[in-house]
Amino acid sequence: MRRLAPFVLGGVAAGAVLGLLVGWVVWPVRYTNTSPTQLRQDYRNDYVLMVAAAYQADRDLGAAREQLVRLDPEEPARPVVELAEQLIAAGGGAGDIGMLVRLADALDAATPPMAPYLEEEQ
Amino acid sequence: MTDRPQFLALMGGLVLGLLLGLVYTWLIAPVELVNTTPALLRSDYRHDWIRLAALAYAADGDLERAAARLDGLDQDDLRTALGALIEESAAQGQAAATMRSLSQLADQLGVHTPAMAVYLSTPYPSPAGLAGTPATAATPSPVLTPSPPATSTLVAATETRTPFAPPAAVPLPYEVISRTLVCEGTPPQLQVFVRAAAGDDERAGARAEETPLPGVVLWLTWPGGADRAVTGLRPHIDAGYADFTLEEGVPYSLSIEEPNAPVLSGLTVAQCRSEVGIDLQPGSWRVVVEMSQP
Repeated sequence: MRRLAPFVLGGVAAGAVLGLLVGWVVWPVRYTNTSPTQLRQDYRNDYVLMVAAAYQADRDLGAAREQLVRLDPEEPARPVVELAEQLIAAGGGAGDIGMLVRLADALDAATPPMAPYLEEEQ
Repeated sequence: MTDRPQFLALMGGLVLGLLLGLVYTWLIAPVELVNTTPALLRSDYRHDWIRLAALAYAADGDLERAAARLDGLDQDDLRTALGALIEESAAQGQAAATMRSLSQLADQLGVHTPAMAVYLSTPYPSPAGLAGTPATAATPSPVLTPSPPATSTLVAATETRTPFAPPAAVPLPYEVISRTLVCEGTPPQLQVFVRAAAGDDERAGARAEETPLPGVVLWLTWPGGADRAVTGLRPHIDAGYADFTLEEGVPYSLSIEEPNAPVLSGLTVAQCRSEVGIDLQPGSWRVVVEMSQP
């Protein structure tokens, strides 16, 4: 029996390496039902921007809020505010900033850096 | 013969190790995807992504950006989500400019629904300056091509769009050319026919025929209320037709495209009368509105 132990251990080691290779590289768990929170950051930004643009098109604040809850259930307005401030700081496109600021304002989440854009609109 | 137990031990160990490895990688520590793409979203979220991309296109008119956002998504998903969005928007009476944008995007992606046919069949001579009309609305759209990953948000920093410049108030070129009381025995209605004015056809030496205009948003306003309709949703009556139900004793105003620019005011339900002057029943108004050629 002791004569076979090295073979068993060697088999387990080789099998484990093979298993890790198969499970992580060859056939990893395939996620097909992900949620917006798992999107890559640039897609998340795009998602927020699209929600703001859609709000501009249909003025449906309830729908916009519902879509933002998927990114941040606690504070749905936070991704909008963060992206708006990020774009303002980076000198982003005025059209995009405008849409975000309008949505943030509708969600009662406008911040001081957004004030010039809101004043400009009024 | 003496090698056989050793071989079996090796194989047994290999299988055991493989199982342990798979349990660890698939169940205990699976690959954690935190940087996923829209194509991997759950079906309802994916449809929402498509819907948002289409509505964003309706708002900004940026076809290239819309194409980048929809790149890599399943064609069947695109068809289902866009088709549902257009039908739903038509039923809600969304603005003609929005409907036209959605229809154009869907058309580019090979999606066709009955509701969008209204907005694609007739080129709409949109007056300049209409709010919400995308810049690309009247031009042939480019072919959709795969675009770089959606890093548009910060790339957009170089854009030089003017913020919040409201469109200049351009007088809308609509005019009521006839108003007729119709006695059909139906509940009182305002039946509106919108047409493009006939232009002079020099080659034929005669005036060309008037063209019904589908996709025009009509607003009926009255003290304390408003209603909206879009022409062309009843093509069996007329491609430029829409109607409203009227109530007796209420003064109505009819506006085109915007609710605050009436082309007809003080409209009330009138009674159809017999030859001897006795009121028989409330009648409907049939109004023909003409849009002058730009």
